Amino acid sequence: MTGDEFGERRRGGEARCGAKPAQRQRSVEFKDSIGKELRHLYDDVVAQPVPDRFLKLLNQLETNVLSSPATTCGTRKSE
Amino acid sequence: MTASGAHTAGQGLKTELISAIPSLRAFAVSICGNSDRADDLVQETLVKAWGSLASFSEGTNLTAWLFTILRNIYYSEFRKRRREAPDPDGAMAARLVAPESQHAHMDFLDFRDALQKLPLDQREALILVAASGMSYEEAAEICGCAPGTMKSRVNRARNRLSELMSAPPAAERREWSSAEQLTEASRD
Repeated sequence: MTGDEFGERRRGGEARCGAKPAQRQRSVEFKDSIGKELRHLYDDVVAQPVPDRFLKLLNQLETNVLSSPATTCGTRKSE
Repeated sequence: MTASGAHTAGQGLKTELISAIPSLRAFAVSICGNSDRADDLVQETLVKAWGSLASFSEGTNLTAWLFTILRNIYYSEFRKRRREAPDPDGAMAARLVAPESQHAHMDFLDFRDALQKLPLDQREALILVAASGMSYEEAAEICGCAPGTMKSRVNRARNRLSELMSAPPAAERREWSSAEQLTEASRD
């Protein structure tokens, strides 16, 4: 199918720099409406600010690690 | 970087984890179709990731590593739910369609409805490649399959999505019972 034009741009490890995960260049880009809808759906969420609960969680995990370096698995809540 | 580096690397990794959260949330919500559940998945992923930072090899793709963890959590929840709510037809087991997503967010766009009707393996393939920007190889690694398999899942997902989106109006589908939806989902 020739409708699936995409540039094969490998960007290995680039996401680790982490400054702008939303701006990661896509290796494969579908230019049809499905591709657009998917990117729209996805990028909408990527553009949202990181909710406080996650920042708090990471601070908590960090504190736990510093006080007991063995493991943090115990912090996982059971349902 | 060794396991004992967790102390010193903690700060840097924390920053990296934070910058990976937007992608992780986008992946989670696209895959499960419910934003509350998605954030719970992200939370579990972060806890698990933090607990196994020692097994993360510095210099590799942190986002891909996190996606793998999130996916594993999602799949094991999915299997657990399936055990708790047996599926007499085996339709759900066969197609791996998340059963409650259609009810949880009826105000979702048609596209989202259609996306959630895809079998899970196709849905995640499409999201990883067409939305998150992973290459077929990276996506294949996350899903534990060959790049060729990934490619064909993406193609099947796109074909199925086009079919679903040109199907009868969503309002009609929404009146079906859950069982009927599952049967429908299994009939492609």
